[in-house]
Amino acid sequence: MPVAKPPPGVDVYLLGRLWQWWPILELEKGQSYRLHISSVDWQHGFSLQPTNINIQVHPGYEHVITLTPTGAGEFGIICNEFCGIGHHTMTGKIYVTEKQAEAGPRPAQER
Amino acid sequence: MTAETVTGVGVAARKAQYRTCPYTGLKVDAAAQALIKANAVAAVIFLALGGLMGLLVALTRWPAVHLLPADWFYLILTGHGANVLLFWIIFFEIAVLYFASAILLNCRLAAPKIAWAGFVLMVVGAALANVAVLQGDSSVMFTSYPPMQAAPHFYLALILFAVGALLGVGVFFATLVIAKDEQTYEGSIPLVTFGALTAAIIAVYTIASGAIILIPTFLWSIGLIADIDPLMYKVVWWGMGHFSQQINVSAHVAIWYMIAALLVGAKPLSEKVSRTAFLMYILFLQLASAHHLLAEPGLSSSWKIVNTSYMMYLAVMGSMIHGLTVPGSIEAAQRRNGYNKGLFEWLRKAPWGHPAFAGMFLSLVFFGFIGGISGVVLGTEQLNVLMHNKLYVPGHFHGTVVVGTTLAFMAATYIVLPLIFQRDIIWPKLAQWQPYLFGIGAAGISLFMMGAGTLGVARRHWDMAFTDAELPFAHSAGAFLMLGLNGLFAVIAALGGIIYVLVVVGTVLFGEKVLSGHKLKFPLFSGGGAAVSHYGSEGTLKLPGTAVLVSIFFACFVLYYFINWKYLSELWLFR
Repeated sequence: MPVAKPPPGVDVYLLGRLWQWWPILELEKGQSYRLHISSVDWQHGFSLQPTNINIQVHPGYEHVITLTPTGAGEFGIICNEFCGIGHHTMTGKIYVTEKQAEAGPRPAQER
Repeated sequence: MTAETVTGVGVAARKAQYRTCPYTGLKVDAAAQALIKANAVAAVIFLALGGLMGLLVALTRWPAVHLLPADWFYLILTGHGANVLLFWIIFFEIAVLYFASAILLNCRLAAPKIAWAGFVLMVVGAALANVAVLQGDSSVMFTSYPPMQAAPHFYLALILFAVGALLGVGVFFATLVIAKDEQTYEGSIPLVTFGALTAAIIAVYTIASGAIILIPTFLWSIGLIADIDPLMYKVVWWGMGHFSQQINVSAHVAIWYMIAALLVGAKPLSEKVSRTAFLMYILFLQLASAHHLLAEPGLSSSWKIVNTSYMMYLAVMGSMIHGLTVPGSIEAAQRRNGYNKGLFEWLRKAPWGHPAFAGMFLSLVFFGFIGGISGVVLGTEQLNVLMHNKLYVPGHFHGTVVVGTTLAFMAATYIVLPLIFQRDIIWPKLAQWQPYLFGIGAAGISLFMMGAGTLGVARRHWDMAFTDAELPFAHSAGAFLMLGLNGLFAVIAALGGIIYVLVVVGTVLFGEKVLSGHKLKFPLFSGGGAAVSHYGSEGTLKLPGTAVLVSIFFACFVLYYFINWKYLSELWLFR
């Protein structure tokens, strides 16, 4: 799955579909992003874990939130709206890196 | 039996057959009695079916057991919701409506043939819905959100059931008209009937909302309509989905007052205050529907905030008033009965061995502490983002509908069996334990689902370990523990549920016939019949015990509310 690494402050797009959150996002701590979430098929539930932000996602609607990660690390997205037989396999990821200005040159990442 | 010729309003003036109840002195119309029996029996059948499905759901979510495969889990979960949340509760509510109108007002039931037609429609609808679900093409959950589509007969079944229920509600209104016209009661209607009236009024616009959305959805499922907007569906559907819960609240609060009157002779502290509290349900509580829409796109913040933070406070006040006046009226009555020592003699010496009282009081306490407080948290616009579609949501509504409504209805059954079925309870020892087992089990289910939800576990989800997911994710060990405990308490609740069904079925089939002069195994208070069927207030506020209980409630409420704001402060920043 592709990893999108948008520059700080821009619009970011996340798509829910049967049964994945696409793509993986890499964000920076302390930076704000306009996150557009939508679905191409059924309703889905964007649930950021373990931070526990829960937003409803409808096909045909774009849910836009301005999001500022406050902690670095690896975060999971799970689906919390029932979307059929594969619902419990629908996951996604957001990596949050330390703010570059504070953290200096980024160390090589392994994944 | 005596026959009386009655003439009066309506098309169905008929010769009503009455008997006089030896325990309450109330006149019982044979037609009403037969309909109450039929609806109560249907209710218990769907409770048994839906309850069994609930146990299967809980055993599947228990990570160590993980009983059902995924497709069966989603199928059974859909059936569980329909059978217990709709069919069990609404059949029982129709029985409550007939009881609160014809029996409590000493009146004949209006148009029994229409009532029977409604009953048949409801049975056909409920059976058809089960067929649709068990065929496997309609695992769309209770909410059936489009664009996910069920088989056409799934929607049709719900529509038939709703039409049947609407006929029953109409019969209730007509009975009130007849009672007033024929002056079968003095003054104003008793509070229990007033509560039932509240439930019936809310039922009308609940069913109307359901029709507005389910009829087009049915047409969409057979291809006559191209598209159902998912957000529009959701807004209107919750007009049914959460309004219907206000029917339940009104009905079970009416039952609290009824049981308190019949078992300790309690009268409302103030008729006017309690009536105002019921009125608040009609005016405001329906806006709790908004708490399912707080995480949606397309609805403005001001809409969300007005409908929750302001309207809901008014509605919650209604429940808080009942939370004060129900125990208050029991305290006042018990003190009148001579239990006057200290703060709590009235409560210690209450009839805890009577399953109707035990069930009623546990329902009152758990509904307030678990269902009520979690409802306010969910309904707060800002806090909702923590809990939306988490297991916290079913945790909340098992705290209202299961340990509140269902337990109250079970408690009422122990009065309905001897008075309406005229059979004395068999296995009284088991019956005495039943409300405690079911109440504690269901309270545990509610609390541990709330706990799991707070730790991030989604509702309607087969695998919290995400075994087959492309990108792995792990919940905390605490979340797994919560669902293990949930499973254990579901087993306890199921045990209480099984005992309930056994006692009810056993009593109806084999219970000793209640003939005149028979001494009931679980006796009523001697002035209870008059207390439940007459308008009148206790008119006292000397209730030191209740004041202490209410203070404990408020302390828990405030503490828990602010703990959730603390959780909220730990989220990523977003707007």
